[in-house]
Amino acid sequence: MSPLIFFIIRRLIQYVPMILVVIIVTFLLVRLAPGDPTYILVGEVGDESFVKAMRERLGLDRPLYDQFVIYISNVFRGDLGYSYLRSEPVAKLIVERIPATLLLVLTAMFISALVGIIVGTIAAARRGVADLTLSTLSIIGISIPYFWLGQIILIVFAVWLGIFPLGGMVSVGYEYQGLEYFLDVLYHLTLPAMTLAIFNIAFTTKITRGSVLEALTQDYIVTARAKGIPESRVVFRHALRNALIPVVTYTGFNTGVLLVGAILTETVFAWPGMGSLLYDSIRLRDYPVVLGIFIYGSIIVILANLIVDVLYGIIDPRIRLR
Amino acid sequence: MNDSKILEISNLTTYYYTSRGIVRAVDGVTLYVKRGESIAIVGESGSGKSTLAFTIMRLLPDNAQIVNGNIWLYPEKIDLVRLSNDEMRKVRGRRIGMIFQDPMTFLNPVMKVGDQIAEAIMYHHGYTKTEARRKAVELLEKLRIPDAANVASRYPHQLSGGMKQRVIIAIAVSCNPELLIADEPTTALDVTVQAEVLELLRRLIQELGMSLILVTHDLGIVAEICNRVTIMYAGKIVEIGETYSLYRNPKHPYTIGLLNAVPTIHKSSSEVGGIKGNPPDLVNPPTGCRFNPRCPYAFERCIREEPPLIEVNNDRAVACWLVV
Repeated sequence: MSPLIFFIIRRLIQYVPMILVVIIVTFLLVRLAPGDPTYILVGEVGDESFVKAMRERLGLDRPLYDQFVIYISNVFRGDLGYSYLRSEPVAKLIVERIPATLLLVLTAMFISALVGIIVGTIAAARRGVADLTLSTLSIIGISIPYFWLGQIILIVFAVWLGIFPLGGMVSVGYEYQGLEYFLDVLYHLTLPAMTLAIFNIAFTTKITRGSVLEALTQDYIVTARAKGIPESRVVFRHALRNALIPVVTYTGFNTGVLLVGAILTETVFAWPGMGSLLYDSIRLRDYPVVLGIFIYGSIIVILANLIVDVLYGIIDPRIRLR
Repeated sequence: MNDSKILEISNLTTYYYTSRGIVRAVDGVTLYVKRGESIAIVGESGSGKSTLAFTIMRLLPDNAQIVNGNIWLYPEKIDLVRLSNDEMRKVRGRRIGMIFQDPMTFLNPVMKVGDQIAEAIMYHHGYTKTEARRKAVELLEKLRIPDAANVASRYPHQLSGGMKQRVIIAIAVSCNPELLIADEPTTALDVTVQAEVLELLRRLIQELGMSLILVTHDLGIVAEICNRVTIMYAGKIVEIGETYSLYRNPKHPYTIGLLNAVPTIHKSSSEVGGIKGNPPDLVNPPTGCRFNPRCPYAFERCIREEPPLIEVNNDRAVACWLVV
């Protein structure tokens, strides 16, 4: 296992400059956007001296590069600053909300990988009507935007049918413990996770189908069939295993897209994660929180890709960890 | 060796349906294999010899179809052409094993070779995974692979070409099939490894009492292990006979050309004859004898009428009007 640990450590070191670049780019991007947090804090018609005092307090009166140097040196000391609006440390705000987002994103990722891989493989193995139906459904799935889908799902399942809660992560006022708490969260999780998963199920299905179809044309499939083993084993054990690399690549790659999707989904379902925090912070120009979330987000994406790299080696022994 | 048949092919016809038209890859082939016998099917690429092998296994690609004929497997005389997919699955691996041409591409790259060998044993004999794996190691030992247990736990990319071909052979014989079909088993190998693998194959079929159908374009390896030879040209059998007699005294002009094309140490390269022209397009094969456009002896009847396989004596049949 030591080569694996060595590989992970080397990768982590390589990621440090990447995170630095992420910070620089997002710092500049956030400042490029019009709007000024000072006016949001003091109001549009604030007294001129009050505005000036506020700018000084926030450090926004200094030149941009000064602000950047101060920010970056703080970040490397582990200090993400204070929220302009909530008067709380950014790190605390984010860490409080990260578990909810991770729960949502990982659930959606798991569901979409599981369902997408199975459906995609079946579509590839059974040509004809089944394939056509599944492929058409996945095109529809890919074409639907999250925010619209979320609203429709909310209306149908929570408003009309009333079988799922309208939003939030726990039932307010019940103070559930243990298993009851877990089930309550699961109950609240269903609709947002479904919303987030549908697009990904569709995409994973398409990628898996193409990849399995390609694998099924390979010579070793003929060898497997010549052994007289059941076709299901030929497809799932021989073809799918070889087809998995593009699927895993996509799933890892897509972590970022899912995080973005989570922002919209969380907003629709009032899910108390990073997404709704980011949405509010962008709207109100709460720079430190926005930057902090970007940094955490990029770390999550980078870690996801590290996991993908490790998975490559497990799936395909020809890929050596270097 | 007794004279009972193990496989009989009658009027077998396999077509490929392509965008260019129907390719008549195997067109009315009749053939039998006796128990314990090794028979070669020789021809150039595109002669239909590999299609014939894959037809017997019913492992044809989606665009190919068996149009006509029977493949009887003895002693029950079951017709493989009419067998359901599930029943055919029980024949594959268990009763007919197949060795493929390219060890680089015919092994699953992400599966340990031991597991690939064990797979068929598990399914056909109902062994547990552990038992089947142990069997796989024994099989590798039988194929004279040093440190077999270690090799079994490796992946194909960690093995040499010759080693991989032995693994392919091990997969094919893992369930002791009565019949082995080898499709160009040594073509992709180095010359030195070819001889080794061939020797191994010969010993194996002798020890296990298997019959062999060897598909090849290499007349040299045929002489080493096969009792009888079938020469195929453009989807049809043109000559069939006992190996040595056919080599000494070929009757069909195509067989003569084929044997002349083999370089020997006594011939300088300018003396090595070839056969003029190219194999015909099987979408629009020539009328009459399919060899007539390339045949130095062709006459009017060859263009007009297709010659049947004519028995010239009890161990030879030739599809040529010259022998009439």
